[in-house]
Order: sequence, then C-alpha cells, then structure tokens
Amino acid sequence: MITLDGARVDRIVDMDNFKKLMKKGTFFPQTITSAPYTIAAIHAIFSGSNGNRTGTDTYYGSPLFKKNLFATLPVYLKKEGYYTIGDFLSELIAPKIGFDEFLIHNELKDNLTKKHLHLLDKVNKIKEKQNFFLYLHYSNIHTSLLDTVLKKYNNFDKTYFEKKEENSREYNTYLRAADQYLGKIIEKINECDMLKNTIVIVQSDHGVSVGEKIGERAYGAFCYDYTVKTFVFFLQPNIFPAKEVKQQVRIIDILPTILDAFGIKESKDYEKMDGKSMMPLIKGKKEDRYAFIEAGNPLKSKEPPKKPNIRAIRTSKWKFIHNYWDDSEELYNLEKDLGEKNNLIKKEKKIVDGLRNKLNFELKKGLSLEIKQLKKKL
Amino acid sequence: MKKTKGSKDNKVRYGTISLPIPLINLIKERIKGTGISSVSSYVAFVLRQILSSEEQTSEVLDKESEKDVKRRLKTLGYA
Repeated sequence: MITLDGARVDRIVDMDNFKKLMKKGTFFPQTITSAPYTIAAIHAIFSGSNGNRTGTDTYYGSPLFKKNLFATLPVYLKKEGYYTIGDFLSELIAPKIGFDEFLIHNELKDNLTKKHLHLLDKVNKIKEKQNFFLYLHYSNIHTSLLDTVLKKYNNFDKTYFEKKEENSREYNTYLRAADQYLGKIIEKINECDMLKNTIVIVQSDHGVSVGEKIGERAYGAFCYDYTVKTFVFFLQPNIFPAKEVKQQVRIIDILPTILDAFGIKESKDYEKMDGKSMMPLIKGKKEDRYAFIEAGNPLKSKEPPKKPNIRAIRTSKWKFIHNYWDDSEELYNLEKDLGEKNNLIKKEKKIVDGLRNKLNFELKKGLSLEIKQLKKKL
Repeated sequence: MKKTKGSKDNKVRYGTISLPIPLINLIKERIKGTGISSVSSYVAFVLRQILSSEEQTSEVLDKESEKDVKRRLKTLGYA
C-alpha cells in the first residue's frame, strides 16, 4: 500500500507513470477522504471508519484512537499470518497496533526512494516463507510544502493567494517527483515478480490547495474538493480489472475492499466499520455512497483546534458544509460548479434538508458509540 | 425550555424539558430498584456522564502527551 501524501487526483492523472499504471488496474478517481489532512485520513483508511467514531478526528487524535474497538488492516492481516511492516512520516500518522515493524523516516534527511526500494527487497525475501503487508508513505510533497508554504504563509496571506499560477507550477513539480518515485517503486515490484500474488494499492490521503480559497493555503481547514476529492488505485490482474469506476467512494471503503478481495470476514469482536467493499461497484453495481467529512480550521490561531469545527456531506452531485465557528452553511452543485463558488444554501431547501439529515445521522453514530461505552459503565 | 423557580434552599436553578410519555415510562421501569428516585434524576445522571465522558475524551490526552503531540505537530508544520 503506497500513500502519495497530498497528491491531487485532478493532476496525478496527467503524470506519466501514473497514466501508464492507471490502464492496468482499477482506478477510483472520485474517492472522498474522511478528513483532508494526513493523521485523520490514514487512521480512517486503516480502520475503515470515520474519525468521529474511532477517536482520531483531529490533529491531536492519534493517541486517542480506539484500538480496542476498531480493528485495523495490519491487525487483520497479522491474524492471517502476514508479516506487517510500514514506513511512516511520523508516529502520529497511523495506529501502530498490528505492525511487526513500525518505521519512521526523517523527511528532511532520508532518501525515500532508496529506503522504500530497500524495503521492497526486504519483503521480496520474506515472501518466500510468509505473506507480507508493506505500507509506504511518500511524504516528499509534504516536505516540499513545509518550507515553501506551511511555514512561510498563514491561511490569509494575500501574497500567497495572489500567485495561484506560480503555486500551481510549484505544486506540479512536487507531484512530478512523486510520479517518478512511483515509477521506480512499480519497476521494482515488476523486477521482483510480485504481481503474481500481490495486490498493489496506490492512494492519496488528501489533496492540496494552490490558493483556490482564501483561508486555506494548504489543507485541513476547509472541505472543498481540491483537498477532499482524492483517489485509490488497485493493481492485481487476477482480482482487479483494468477499468475506471467513476462512482463516488470513500477512503473508508479501502479496508473493506481489501478484506473482501482476500475473503476475510469483518471481525465481530470489534465495532462495525463505516466503510463498504468496492468490489460490487467494480462488478457493475450502481450506488452513490455519500461521504462524511470533518476538518479543523485553525481560523486565526496558529494551532489546529482540539475538536472538528467544520463538517460536510458529499454526494456525487452535492456538497453540504456546516461551519461551526459561525454556524454558516454552504451548498454546492458539484456537476455545474466545480470551483464551489455559487452557494445555493438558500435556494435548494429539500436538498439541504436531506444532506443535513445525513450529517446528523453520522454524528449520532459517533454519539451512539459513546453511549454504548457508557452503558457498560452504568 | 421553561425556567422554573428553584426552591429557596437550592442554589442550583432548574429548567423543564419535555420527553415523550412512552420514554418516561421506559425510564420509570429502568430505575426501579436502582436507588434513583425520579426520571429527572436519571436523565440528569446519564447526561452528566455523557458530557463528562466527552470532556474526558479530550482530557485523556494528558498535559505531557499533549505537549509531545504539539511538538511533533510543529515539526510537521501544523502548529
């Protein structure tokens, strides 16, 4: 499993190596993240569930992940006898539970291509005796943004938002480097003949702003499509056909899809996942799955908030956003308004009511879990 | 929510909320033999537990852990 941290789906599709890869497996270009920032998104991918239930719904949420209630991908695979190894940007990125080796790289010093090719060599030897799960976190887009955007500007710096084209060009160079990394990884996978019996997953956890909306210089503050719409790609010729599935799916659907592909049943020892397998959609089923999204806008503070303060529901056609700091709401028709500029909140009451009900339903799911835990104590 | 007068001895003021009768009856059954004297007491008890568990969720991250997380977030460029 390879995460290209911060790779935008609308741009990765134009990159050489990814374009070649896309034709060989199943590509989901409308995969919606649970949260447009890495910590919450990766926890959601690993658990198949949204942060409001798992406990990781803010930048501070990593130590609060309810590992006793939510089984993760490495936990499932370890039970099946897999050797599990992951290389991460930080301890905060993913739950450690289930990993035989939880490695952390130094994004400023380590050559990720070299390190990850070495890890592929390692698992290539392991696979002679044991199945393996290898997670590779490509963090160089984040590293590039660290000095050029994150530490240089705040979310309201006019100088940043007035140079969108330049921001865009710079971002594309970071993405091209990510694409080159991907090319080398796939080359190594082919050299090791791993595709005979390995599923390769390439995904992004969230996109990145290039200055589309004042108030968000990078990601994590808003819930607009340039950060929340991302992708997942599955490569394994025996299971995943070469096709593009345009229907909306969620990053929480990735774990159930892997379990489904392996014939592993969801464990009844844990809370039921929010996500659902994508296999029926690959086989042709038509289904619009809505996505529940949470973010934490720091507003004028330098630090992210301790609780989410912006939530959204996205379908293929509509995006409803509730901003809790001023109780404002937004509604966008995503088919006609790709830039999410025309707020229809006062014009489409029925649509708003329906989406607001979905939002409340998701919030109640989180609260129900709290009450369930409480009932055990009472 | 209507405000009613508290008793002269109580420093805490009370309000009134509405619950459906079937729910009230369920609660009455639920509290039989528990030592909880009224539906109001039970509802207040449960809500206090829920609200304090929500606060605990953010306080479970003790000050030392919070400092550590903040330090790591700063390295990542998020704080």
